[in-house]
Amino acid sequence: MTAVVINIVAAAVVPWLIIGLIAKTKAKWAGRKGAPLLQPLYDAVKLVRKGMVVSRSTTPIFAAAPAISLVAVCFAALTVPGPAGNSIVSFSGDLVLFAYLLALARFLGIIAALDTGSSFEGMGASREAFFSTLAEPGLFLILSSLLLASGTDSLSGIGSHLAPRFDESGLLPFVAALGLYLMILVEGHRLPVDDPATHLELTMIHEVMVLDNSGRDLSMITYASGLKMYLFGALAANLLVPRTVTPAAHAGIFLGIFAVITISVGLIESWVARLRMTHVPQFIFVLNIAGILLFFLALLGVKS
Amino acid sequence: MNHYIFGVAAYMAAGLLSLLFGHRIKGYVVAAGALIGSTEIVSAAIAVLQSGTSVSLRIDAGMPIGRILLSLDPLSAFFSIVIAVGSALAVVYGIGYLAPSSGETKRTALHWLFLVGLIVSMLLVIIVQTVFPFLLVWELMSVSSFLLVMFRGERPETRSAGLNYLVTMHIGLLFLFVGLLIPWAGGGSADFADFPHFVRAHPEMLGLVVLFLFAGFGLKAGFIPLHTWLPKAHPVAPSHVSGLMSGVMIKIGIYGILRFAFLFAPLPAAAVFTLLAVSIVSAVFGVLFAIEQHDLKRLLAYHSVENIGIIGIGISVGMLGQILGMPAVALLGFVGALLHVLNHSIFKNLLFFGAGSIQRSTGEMGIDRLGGIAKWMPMTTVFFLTGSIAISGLPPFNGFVSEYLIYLGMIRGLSATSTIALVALVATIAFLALVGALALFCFTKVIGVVFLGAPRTERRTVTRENGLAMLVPMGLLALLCLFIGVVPQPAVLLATSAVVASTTGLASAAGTASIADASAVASLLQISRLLLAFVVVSLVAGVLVWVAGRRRPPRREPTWGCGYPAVNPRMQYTGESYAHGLLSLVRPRAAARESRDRLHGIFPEPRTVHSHVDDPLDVHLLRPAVGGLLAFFRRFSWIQNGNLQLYIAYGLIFLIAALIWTVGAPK
Repeated sequence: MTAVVINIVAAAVVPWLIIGLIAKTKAKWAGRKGAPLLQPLYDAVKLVRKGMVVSRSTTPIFAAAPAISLVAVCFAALTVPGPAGNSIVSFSGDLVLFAYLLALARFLGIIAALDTGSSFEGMGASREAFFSTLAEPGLFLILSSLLLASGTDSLSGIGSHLAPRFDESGLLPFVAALGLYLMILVEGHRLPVDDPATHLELTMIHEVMVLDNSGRDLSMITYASGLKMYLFGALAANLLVPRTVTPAAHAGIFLGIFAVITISVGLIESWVARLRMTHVPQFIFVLNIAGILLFFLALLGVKS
Repeated sequence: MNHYIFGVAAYMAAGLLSLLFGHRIKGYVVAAGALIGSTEIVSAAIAVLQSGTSVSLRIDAGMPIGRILLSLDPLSAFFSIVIAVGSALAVVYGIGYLAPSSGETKRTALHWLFLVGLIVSMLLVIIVQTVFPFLLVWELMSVSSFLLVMFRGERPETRSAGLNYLVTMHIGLLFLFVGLLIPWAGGGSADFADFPHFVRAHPEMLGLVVLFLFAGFGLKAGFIPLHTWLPKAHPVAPSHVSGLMSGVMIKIGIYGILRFAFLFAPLPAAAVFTLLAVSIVSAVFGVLFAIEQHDLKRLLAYHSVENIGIIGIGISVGMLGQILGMPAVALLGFVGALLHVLNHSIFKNLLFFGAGSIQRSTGEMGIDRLGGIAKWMPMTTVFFLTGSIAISGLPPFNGFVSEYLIYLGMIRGLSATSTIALVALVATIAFLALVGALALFCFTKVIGVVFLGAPRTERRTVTRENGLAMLVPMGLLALLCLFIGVVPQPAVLLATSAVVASTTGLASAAGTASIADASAVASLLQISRLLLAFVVVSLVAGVLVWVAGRRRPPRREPTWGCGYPAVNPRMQYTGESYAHGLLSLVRPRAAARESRDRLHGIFPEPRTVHSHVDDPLDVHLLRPAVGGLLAFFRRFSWIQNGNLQLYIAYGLIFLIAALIWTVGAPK
């Protein structure tokens, strides 16, 4: 029961911390002091209190989409193992439900953007749909290779069942974590795929999709985006936590890995520029290649 | 069996009776027969599926047809449910759809007759298990659907698409003829059930028989590269006919493949991997071609190719499980495929009905000329959105459940020891994920461009909802999408008993008539609970959003134009621009063929641009092949020169040759 509570609290708080820590890292690197770590949460509270401005051309789909896609991401979160180890819900093939609930959230976000009839938001929606389409096979390659290597059929079992021989060589969990890390960059709309800090609509992907969202809707979209990053990070962290530690140490190491992931995302954002839009597909192919490599590593491990 | 035959008779009677009634009530007569007939057929089918035993009837029809074996076995029973449900709703929808044409009495009278003909022949083709009558009803099915496509036969594009369809179906018939004739002539029995004896005795013939049969059935189903008739025939047919053909009739091809895959199981590995490869190609390219379409009904037609590919993947996974000796994998693959047959018939009918409603209201099928339909047709929008999410395989609708079962079969297969099987399974998982994501891409385009935003062109007519006859079938289909998505157990159980009864060796794995193994049942229950909770929470969230909007109405402003003041609807992203990024990656050379006038002078006159999307397989593969064949046969055209005397001479020569051969042949 405590494990469930810990997982829920982590899923509720960590996404805000991720966004805050990335901003903090960028500020420190730029020589600034930076806003408090929980500033994104304060912003969200402020946004919820504020009123909304909604485009006249929209239908109720636009009004309902942020809430329902947030619900979809939250349900997807149920299948992902948190800092307390196991996930809240676990069954054979739960990775399909996980990936498809995230896809449902994407579907609703895209049609809500097209609902405004804005050419900019159409552009953002088109890019979002395009890039996440390319990333989808990579995600399934990574997850199914992990199932192959661990001999289980649910996301929750991967960490605990990853055969000892993979721990010895050590390569497989790291390649898998790398692949999931790239998923954070793609699905979390971070550099070098998308620049969340850009000010020019033509160079945006996610930000331009939500141009017409304000107030409560915008805060829900921000949280859903952070939660998605948390979920991919949690899958990666779960692979890297050593097997034989106490639950408290497990949670500590898990969150430590998270801090490392988040700071590295912030550092990348300080160091590199966004890729040209035509080069983003090539970047995402790296993700797919990581998936293919991972499959052959798993195959070699299983066969030996 | 009696119920089934009574159901078929009800359809036939309604079709014939409709001739006696006036044009206003013809549709209602057929609908009454359809409701009675479909109820009878579904009840007969469920009885067969629950008992797991088949009922059969042997008729001696005398010369020239001979003995006929009619058998309603669990596999036929499952498909009969698909046909009965889809047909009844298509008939009801047809009443509303044809209402504006009811003045053309001759045309609509024939239409209802052919529609009943198509439904009856589909219902018969799945229970006839003897070669010659099977081919007869198969041909009846092709011809009646051809006549339905020709509803607007005076239009040149309809005639060309219809003739293309007719010719393609006869090529398919030829394949089937050869494929069925080999075991018939070789084994001496015309009953399908006796064919396995022949292939066991002559294993060298198995590959050839399977190749011809799968090519013939695959043509009906629309596997790539045998799919080119689909995107031609569907846009020109009336919408309920498109829905019936795309949702139900092409599944008869799947029925044929499954029937013989089960009879001849286990098939050689080469056949399984070929089917898997063809299915993956169909799924991926089906959806890619769909994305580049400009016409809504053509787009939906290509999605049928995609879904046939997904069904084929399920069948291949099932056959792979049989080869590998993994009953759980086989069962999950086959059950997933069968359930997807049912699901696709539901959401594809729904989507074609929705497209037909838009066509009725706006007179327009060009995606980039529509927009903002949601404001005028909110019900249709909700139904079409349901179908779109379902066909993209997303929860909480039915498409998710069948794709999940196919995924689960492949995930179970990961414990196999064969390296080739593992590579094939993981590659298939990745491709299926890609197909799902591409379908999402395609349907966000359709919903976003057709239903949302603002209208792109001025409407010639007042856009509004159509009558109940069109809305009610769509609403029922949308409810079915949700029901099977949230409570999948009954449908899964029906599919499971169809598979278990049709295959040997799976019954023990299935234990009681439940699915695969305990953990698959548990997973399905978990999913059912989770999705139920998801639907409830989403509804609550929707209500909260609505209440919040009432209590504190948001300020309504024009869409933010990024500082540009003179925004107009023509600036919206079109379907073509939405898909451009993805398509330019897949097909660097422009997908669409464009013809545009050059601009002249300082103040050019208005110019027009035409854009047309070709099917690359049709243009680069089939047309050259057919052209080569034609050139070859043209060399023999001197034989057929229109001279009657010469034709009589041919007859005489043939008779003399036949006489000499009969007399001279060694006894």
